[in-house]
Amino acid sequence: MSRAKLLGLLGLLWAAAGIGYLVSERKADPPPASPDAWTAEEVDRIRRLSPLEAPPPDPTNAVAGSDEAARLGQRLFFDRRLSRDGTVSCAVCHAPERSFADGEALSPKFQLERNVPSLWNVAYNRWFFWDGRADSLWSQALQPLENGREHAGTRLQYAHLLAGDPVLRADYERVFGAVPDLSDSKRFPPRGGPAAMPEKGPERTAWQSMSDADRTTVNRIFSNLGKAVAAYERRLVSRRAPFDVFVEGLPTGDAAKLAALRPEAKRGLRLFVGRANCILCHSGPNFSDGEFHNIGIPPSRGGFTPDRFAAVDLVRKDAFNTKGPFSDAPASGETKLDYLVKIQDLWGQIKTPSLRNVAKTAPYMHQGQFKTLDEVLRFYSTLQGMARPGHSDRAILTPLRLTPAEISDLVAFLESLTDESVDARLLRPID
Amino acid sequence: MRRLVAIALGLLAGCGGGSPTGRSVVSNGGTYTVTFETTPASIPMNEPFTVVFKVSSKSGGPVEGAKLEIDARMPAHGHGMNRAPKLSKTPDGSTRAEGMLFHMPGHWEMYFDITQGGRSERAQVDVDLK
Repeated sequence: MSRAKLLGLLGLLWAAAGIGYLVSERKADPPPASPDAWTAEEVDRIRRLSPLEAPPPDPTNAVAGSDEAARLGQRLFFDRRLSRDGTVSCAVCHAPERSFADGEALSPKFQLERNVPSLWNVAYNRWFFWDGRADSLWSQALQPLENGREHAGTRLQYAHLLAGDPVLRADYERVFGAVPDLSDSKRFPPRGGPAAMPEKGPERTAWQSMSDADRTTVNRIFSNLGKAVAAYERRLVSRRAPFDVFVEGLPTGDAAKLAALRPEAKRGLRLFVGRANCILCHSGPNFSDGEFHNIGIPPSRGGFTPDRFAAVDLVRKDAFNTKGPFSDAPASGETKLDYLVKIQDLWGQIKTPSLRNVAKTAPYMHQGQFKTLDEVLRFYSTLQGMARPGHSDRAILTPLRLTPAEISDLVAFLESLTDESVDARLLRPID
Repeated sequence: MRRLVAIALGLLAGCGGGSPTGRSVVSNGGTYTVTFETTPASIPMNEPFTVVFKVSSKSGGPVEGAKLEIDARMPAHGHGMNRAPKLSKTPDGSTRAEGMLFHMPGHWEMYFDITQGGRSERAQVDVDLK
């Protein structure tokens, strides 16, 4: 047989096996293997999951890597004055002691419709919010500040806070230069923004009464606040979990490093990259493809929502998107925004979350539908309660039919992705 | 049979590491040959890549005035890419598709659709992505 024919035959066999895998069909269990006897295919798949390199640069935020910007961002992150009534900071929901989340399914205090996501490794995201309606970390940070259910303030209020507070102002000026003069209250009313409610209320009207140039001045300050917060959040990186130590040991068989995973976690890892095929979406070293999927989790509040389908329009028209006038690299924004397409496939899709530190970020899914990882895996195991697609759609997932022991092994593996060893000074307000 | 040829070519490429670089594939009606290459040469998992392709007649002659489109889907999943590539012409008359992105591992079908005089043919390549 010629080499080409042989390759073709091998390709056919390989592809046939691969396609079977994709639809997560139950296969015969592999023969029992000792915990450290990995096939070449398994090693290849595992090594795609570690190491996690430092976060990718964000050219749309010129101060993303600045220590001084991160310092200002950390001040802002913990500052409750960044809210309508002085009670809400970013850290209220993204609490460092709760893995930068709130531990609730849907925040009862703020009546949210989406679970508060952890901020661990947020710098690796391609899109932001569960539906990806922001295309940068800095533009994401701006939206809750003006959301009526969250911080509920306005950009004019925040600009005045910054201009009037000597500490914030000094930090700001070190990074962004002089704060413009906002002292003329006719030109710069104390509160106001383009989405301030009610629609015909004084704060909306105040914003509309401003000149374009003055609105741009305020928008510039507001976007800079987002860039500073992003500079801080980019440092919340988790990338040396026991799993990463284990992967370091794989090429050489370093026994001490291989022992970083308990036997049950190794069995779980074998399932993760094998029969359970979690790497279909939780791919790459941040355990997320950064993209969107509809896995049929029934909504717990608000009914079925378009999610990614609607978010395409939202991110396109976001004045602070990466192609807009406040981006520091509009050309780089094009790589994401220009290829966006609004197609039916996107209906109901939600972003794949990272699994790093996942054991610390219960409850799970975009509305916190599952309290524990065990519940999550039982869902994937049975698909019980799954919202079935319409008759013209295809269900991608098929039940994994995991045994209780296999579920326990997968949980043990997911627990091996925990690393909260970030610089402790990042976990509290700056003195 | 031509479809089978196309699939076999694609699988060959897949066997070599997920890239159909430098391949030619005949459209399903037999009218066209599509020659293409990708950058990077091996289609990356969940990263943008570019496809440059040229359509010629079966005998290798030029094809004028045809509408050319490119797309890709995962047949087992019932979905395609989450984005649409941008097409432009290169100086030598090839078509450059930027912004392709296969966001999941597994079996993809990449389609080159050629429409001329109200008649469309599809040249199809299979890509197995790890």
